[in-house]
Amino acid sequence: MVLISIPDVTVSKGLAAVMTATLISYVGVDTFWGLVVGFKRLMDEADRAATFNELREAGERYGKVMGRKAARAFAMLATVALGNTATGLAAKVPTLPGAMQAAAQAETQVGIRLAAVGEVETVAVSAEAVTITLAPNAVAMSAQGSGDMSAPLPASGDISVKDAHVDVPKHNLDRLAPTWPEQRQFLIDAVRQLDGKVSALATTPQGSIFESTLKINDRFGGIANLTIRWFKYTDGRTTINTAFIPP
Amino acid sequence: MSAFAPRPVDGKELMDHLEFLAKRVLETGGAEAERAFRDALRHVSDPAVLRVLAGKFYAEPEASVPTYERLLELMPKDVLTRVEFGFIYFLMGEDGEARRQLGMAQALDPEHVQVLTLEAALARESAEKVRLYRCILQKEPLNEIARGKLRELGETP
Repeated sequence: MVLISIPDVTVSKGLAAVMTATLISYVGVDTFWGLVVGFKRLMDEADRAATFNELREAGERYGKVMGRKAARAFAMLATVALGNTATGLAAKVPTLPGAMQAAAQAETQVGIRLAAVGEVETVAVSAEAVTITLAPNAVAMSAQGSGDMSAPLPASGDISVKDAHVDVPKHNLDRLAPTWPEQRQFLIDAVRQLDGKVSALATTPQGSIFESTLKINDRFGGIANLTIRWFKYTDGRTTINTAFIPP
Repeated sequence: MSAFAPRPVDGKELMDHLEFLAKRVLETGGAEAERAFRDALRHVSDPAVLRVLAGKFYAEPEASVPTYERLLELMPKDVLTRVEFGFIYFLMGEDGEARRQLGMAQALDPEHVQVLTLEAALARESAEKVRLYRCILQKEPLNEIARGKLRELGETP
């Protein structure tokens, strides 16, 4: 149900909004964004699939994006939400396993109290932010009164990633980490560290193009050459356009 | 024309409209949004407008590729535009298409510094990169790209 309501319709309401806000609290904004982007890709790939094999491969790729932790949170929420109302689900959220850690994450990342997740009216997902709208009399942790809480996407400074171009099997990024959100974070951290240490490959009026190849220890104990290409706009925003490990 | 592409009336409106359509392409990734964006681009004949748009979305190929394609329809012999377009494919990791664009840029001016810059980026061997960056420095002794890359390659600029 969440899969249907979150990514395809960019505004979730009622039960779906409470589930979305709780899921963000559990998995974090970055992982949640990975799930949204991944799901859109799954839909596209499923549309284009001509055989059952292609369909299965698309599903497996999304499973990889989701990862074990997110899948657990997802299954737990879906189970509690079945046959429940928004208010009923919200009342159960603080009693769920891992609720304390999720509450801390909710406060720091999106400024809401998980215990008051029932006050969430809508969750809107755009290319730039997740915006959580609270009920008129709700009190947020970081802001008094009603209003919107926005968490920028990705929550990683000004570095964004062209997920659809980077997260493809032929790039062999599973050698970095088992799931896409972890691979994505690895790339963001790498570019953040390389910023200012690598000279530009070219400049355009809009910014500079960079490439770096890093020798890394992969998770299987081998050595891999990871190439990352990114663009840095003159205002400091950075986009990672591709990253790959040659076979 | 689709419902998303009403005819704008002045420069600012046109730019706002094109940006709106480009953002829709990025947000939805849908074929309809892409079609509306391309339809709107077809009605733009001012390269300056397209350049500004391409700049704003340079690292977003879903928007920048159709914009550069339209620019190159209007200015097929503009070597800088061709090189910038080639670099978009390079950024995406589509080196084959980047090389195709390089070939077209070389057909216009093989010794142009920007053409050599793209050629150096796509060169597989360090020795070839060094040769090309030295070539650039012969033409522009203070070229920062070539000097920086030669230093990274362990060479003295």
